Amino acid sequence: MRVRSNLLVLIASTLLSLAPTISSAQAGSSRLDSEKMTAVMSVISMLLFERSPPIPTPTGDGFQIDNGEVIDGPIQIASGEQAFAQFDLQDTGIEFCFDVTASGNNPNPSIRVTVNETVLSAIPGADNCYRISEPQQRLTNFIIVSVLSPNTSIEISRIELQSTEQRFRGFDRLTRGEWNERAVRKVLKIFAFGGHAFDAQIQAWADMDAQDAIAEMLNFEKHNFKLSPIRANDIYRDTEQVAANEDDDIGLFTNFSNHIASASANIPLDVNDRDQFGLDGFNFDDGFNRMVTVRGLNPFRQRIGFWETNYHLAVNRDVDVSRGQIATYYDVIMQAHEDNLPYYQVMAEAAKSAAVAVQYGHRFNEWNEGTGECECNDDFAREISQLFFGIFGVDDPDHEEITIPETAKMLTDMPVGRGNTSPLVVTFETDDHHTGDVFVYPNYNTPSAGRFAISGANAAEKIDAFAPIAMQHPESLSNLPVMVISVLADDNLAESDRNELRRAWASLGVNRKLLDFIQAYAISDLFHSSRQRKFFTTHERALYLANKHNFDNLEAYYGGGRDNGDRMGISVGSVIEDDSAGEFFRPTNNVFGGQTSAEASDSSLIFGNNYNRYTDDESLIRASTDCSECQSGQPWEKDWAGVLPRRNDGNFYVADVAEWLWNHVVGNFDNYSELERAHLYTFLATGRMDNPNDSSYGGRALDFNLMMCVLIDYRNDPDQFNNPTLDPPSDGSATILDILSTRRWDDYCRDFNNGGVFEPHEVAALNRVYTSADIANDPDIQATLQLLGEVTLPIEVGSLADEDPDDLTIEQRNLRWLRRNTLERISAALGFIYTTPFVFAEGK
Amino acid sequence: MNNNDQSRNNLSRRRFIQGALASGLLYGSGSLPIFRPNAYGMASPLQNRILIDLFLDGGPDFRHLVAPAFNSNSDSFGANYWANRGRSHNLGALTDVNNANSGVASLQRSEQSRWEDDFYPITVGGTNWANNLVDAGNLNTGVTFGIWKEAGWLISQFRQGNVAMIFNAVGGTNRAHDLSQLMAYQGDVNISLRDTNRSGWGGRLARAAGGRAIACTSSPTPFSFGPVGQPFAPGYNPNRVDNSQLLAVEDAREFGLFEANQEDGYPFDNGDYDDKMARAARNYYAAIRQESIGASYQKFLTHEFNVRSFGEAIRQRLDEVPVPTPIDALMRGVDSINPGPDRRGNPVAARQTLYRNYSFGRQINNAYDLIALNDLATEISGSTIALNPRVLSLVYGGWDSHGEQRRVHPNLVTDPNNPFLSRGIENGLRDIFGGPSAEVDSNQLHSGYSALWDSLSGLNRQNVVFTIYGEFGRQIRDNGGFGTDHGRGNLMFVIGENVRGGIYGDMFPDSEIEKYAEPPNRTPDITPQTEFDHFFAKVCDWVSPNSGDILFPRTAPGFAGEAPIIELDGMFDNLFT
Repeated sequence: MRVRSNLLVLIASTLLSLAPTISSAQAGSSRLDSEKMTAVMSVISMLLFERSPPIPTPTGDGFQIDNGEVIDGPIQIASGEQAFAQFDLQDTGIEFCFDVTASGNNPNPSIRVTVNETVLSAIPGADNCYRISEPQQRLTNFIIVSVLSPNTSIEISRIELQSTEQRFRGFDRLTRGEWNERAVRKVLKIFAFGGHAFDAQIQAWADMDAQDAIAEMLNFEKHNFKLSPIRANDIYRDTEQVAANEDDDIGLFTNFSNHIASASANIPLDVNDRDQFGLDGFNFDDGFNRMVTVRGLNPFRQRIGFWETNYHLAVNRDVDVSRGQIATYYDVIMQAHEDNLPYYQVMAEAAKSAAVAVQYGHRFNEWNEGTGECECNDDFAREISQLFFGIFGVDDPDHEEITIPETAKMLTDMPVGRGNTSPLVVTFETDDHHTGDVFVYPNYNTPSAGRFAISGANAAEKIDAFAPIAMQHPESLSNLPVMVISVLADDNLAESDRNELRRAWASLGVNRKLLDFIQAYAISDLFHSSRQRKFFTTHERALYLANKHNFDNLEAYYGGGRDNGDRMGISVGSVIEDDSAGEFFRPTNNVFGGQTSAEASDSSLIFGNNYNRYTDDESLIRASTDCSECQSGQPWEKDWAGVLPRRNDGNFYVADVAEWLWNHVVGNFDNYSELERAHLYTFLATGRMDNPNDSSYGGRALDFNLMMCVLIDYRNDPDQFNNPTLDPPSDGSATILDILSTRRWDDYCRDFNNGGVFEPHEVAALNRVYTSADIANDPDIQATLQLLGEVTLPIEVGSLADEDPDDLTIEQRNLRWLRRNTLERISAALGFIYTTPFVFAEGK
Repeated sequence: MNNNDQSRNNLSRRRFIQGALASGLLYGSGSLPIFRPNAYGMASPLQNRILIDLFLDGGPDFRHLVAPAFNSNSDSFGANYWANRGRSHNLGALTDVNNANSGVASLQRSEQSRWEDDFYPITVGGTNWANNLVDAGNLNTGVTFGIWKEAGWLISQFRQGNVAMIFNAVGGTNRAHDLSQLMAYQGDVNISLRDTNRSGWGGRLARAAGGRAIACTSSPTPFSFGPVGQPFAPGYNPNRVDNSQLLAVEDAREFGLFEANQEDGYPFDNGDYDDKMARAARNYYAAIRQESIGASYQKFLTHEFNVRSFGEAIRQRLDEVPVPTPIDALMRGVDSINPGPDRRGNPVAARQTLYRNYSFGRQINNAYDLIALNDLATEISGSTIALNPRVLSLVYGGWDSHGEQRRVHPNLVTDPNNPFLSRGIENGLRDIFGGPSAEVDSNQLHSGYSALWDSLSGLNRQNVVFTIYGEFGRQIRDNGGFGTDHGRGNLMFVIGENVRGGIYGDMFPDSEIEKYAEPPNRTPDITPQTEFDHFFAKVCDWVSPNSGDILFPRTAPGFAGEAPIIELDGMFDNLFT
């Protein structure tokens, strides 16, 4: 009866809220009041009289469920039977969800779900969810589940009734039905450079409650083995070692850099080439990208660490900040996050660092008590307010003349060692420090009190006192949450979106943790709205594609590098270099941060670089499928079989693989049309099939236009070679697979049979622009795609692609070539996806 | 960066040429668009006027470049300036940690010797003052100032009457880099940091001129962002961005998309996977351009169209346009120019002539190339699309000189053109404004603008105007870090043969003198007296007649809001001849 009570309360409150209106309406004072009265009556009518009539109680087992209740079950329903749940009218829209497990011989039984007389369906798996808005609800509502398929039964479990309006840390959040695989992939894409989780883990997170899942996905631990698992057969596992003393853990940037530069590291790189990645190495920045791409650490931690040290709290190697200082800076900030310190304390730790003192030069700042002069620069005195906390002093006419000079006095006598070229910490001294109070910002709590007095015996104590005051400054409350999200996640924030961010931020109080805010935002309606749009910087795109490309740590360590001529993994550093995007820790806009989303997305050059990389230089990824000795002297092969979907018959079908590749990279199917399908199917399925004795067996894939050209040329004159022994059928009936299985596999759509010139029909075919509609509406193309989609990919035949062929029989060698060439076709298809617009952004 | 990636080739020249042949031979049949570049012949003279804008982010201290004469009278501007700038000019003995760590020597000098030795003196209306120079409003009669001698090109151009030096100018009304930069990019001092999605004044000018803004950098700054619509037509909205015309050309000679090589007749060869990928990608983009995809991805279709449209034509044309030696030498050792020790101290026959910013040399080269390409057009399915660069955007950063504004390395005594030594901001000043001049040193090496200027034909020089400025200036007193902190007002430059050169504004206002005596912890700066709207509008008018009022509406007669400040009414009425 609680719900009915709520209904009455709703009616009563509606009437009461409009009581003054009713009174005035009775006085007949205005047309507006009359309209309001009509509105009141409409509400009453809707609530009491226009609700759909009651539904008779269904047959079968039934149970009552209340809003917010979860019934674990399981409840078994056999063929021809049904069960139902009922709930009373709620004052909010609700979502009813349950999981389905099929038993018996039919893994995909037909399941009918009737929601208040509307017939729908369910499928085996988690989170079958049904929304019923408040107006759609009856006084008593029924959801009936029945099994239509014969000779099978299902179990339903985790049955849940929840309001569609759920809140989490100040944000409206996704419901169980909205939190799905797509949402998980989006979170990973934006907040973890894609992460390293495999499909099963992604699905597991999608099946969990969003709040529970996000806590697993995004945290600041040095190792997150769910987000970044190392495959069981991976021999490079140093990064999964959790040190007893966390100062020794490889999850610290300093330790990671030292480790991969050391001879003792179990990594595939030549011992003589490792120095470059260390703290003293010229490829120090490439060492950092390994920290993002190697499995066993925490790409979310690195995503935030990269943002903190290259954007929000940026320091710059080009301003004499040493590699060691930067690594220490990175570790101090991320350890503070990991220790769950309030965000103002994290920023205070950053502000006290040697890296910042060198970056801004205030390591030289001294207070001259004799002259009363601050022998200072005011650079960080300004930027600690502006860049760290988002305070510009817009409402303070004395910001320039008081707050900034006073802050400069605060930042005195904090030298970064003396006599050492690269000390890692500041020594906070007092002889040349302005030991008295300094006065900053008008007191926003008590305006009559003047300015905040910042006390402390040295700069460190003053910074600690300063930080919480800055954190709650009205400008910081307004700007900082927008600064966080606008760089990390959304280039398209409307003012209403910004206000929602501000409300959520403010609701967390002065001790707010950045992690709490990001976790809540990551499962919010705001982040998952159709308005959200994030253009990737070069760094984000390069790291994301690397994480999508690499499955083994060997690939991440090599990062597109070579060993004995073989290439493994995909490069990050050369992408950044080609785009002039600025190395890690050399932000192009100095303390204002690295390349921005706008700078990347508005650059025709950067688009062109990516396009050319995966066309002109396509071998960079196509050929990175195997090597002869790169794995500690042993051969290695890219393990597509370990990740691609396999049907029950054990085979990998082109249709499944194409779809998987697209979803793996893009994260959704919004733009997976007939066009994308056609291009991917062709790269995957077409290859020479006629001669197992040739090293091109299974290779030399066609592109879609070339395939169409071959078909058209063949059909244009099926008998053009006039050799029944070698030719496909002369009646024009051969499919593309038939042609590729004959000795004429490479004779169609060629210029040599026409005096070195392509014939007009060939030219037209090679250059025709096939749109999705063209492909969808052409039965011949559809038939071809159907054929290609059912091709299986022989990626497990024979031995490893690069095992020594000397010991192999001819047949084994042939299979080896077939396997290797098929692996390359898969990578080629992946490369095609990398050329599309959908690797440059996330959004609708 | 990863050096394990050496096998990755740049765009193959073979493929470009063959691709061009392919476009002529194969495209057609009503399928892909026909790209017909008019790419034959040498560089063409400029068909239209063009703006080359150089933005100096960080806030350059132009009081370091153009300084008042030393004066022993303690009440004078010159005396106060030099007394309060000794540290930023690195004149005294630097005894604290600055130099202990940097390995940089300090040469003890007096302010007077610094002035006399290092500045080229000009007295308004007197010594070294050419008759054709303007002193707008006669605000500076008899004032002696100096231009840093290593800025040879600037001195020479000033003396020739090509340089308008606009004093007390303001771009950003505050001292925050990002907001002031946004103001300068957009040409509007009344915006806030939330107004990021608005057009830049360069993008607006290009659109008004019927041409294109081109960033000579890897990424465009908001200066080049175009407005929605045409400035003279209904629907024009400068407060939104349309970058469909915008190009970023970091290296014009490598600009373009890889094209499939179809005529070699071996489409099945393993080595032709790149052709297959290129053909697939090209046809794919041509298809999705006809389809509906989300707004988040539209701009990449635009990029593909623009780069494909012009890349091949640009490269073909530039094959016939050699890089002038002075420009080539900016970036690398050429023709025994600037011999001396290399970075490791080993003697080499030639060294680059730029000191700090290699990228700036590339930008200068791009500017030269794009001028050479100015008449380029491609025919796409019967429609002609012109490159028509009207605004070129260059960037040179590193001006936020809070510390060690001037470094003096002892090796400079014997090797003054060593490009590997840090000189603080003087490296940048030299890279931009340096060059041979009859007034100071006719043998001085070329720097960025002098190399470009030297390489332009007389006709092209007539059709180019340069603007050079940063987001704000510096404070009038140096700081304890031997640098200068953020201020508001600054000097800005408009340069060209059609510019009426001279002085605009009070160079060294008497009202500033008392500011030098303010308490140590105050932060006096150059009082802003002229907002850039006034002279940028005139630049726009010169590039695209009658566009100034529209692109800078606050200068329009009858503007209802608050007009931009100006030091002297009508000061820029005759900025151009």
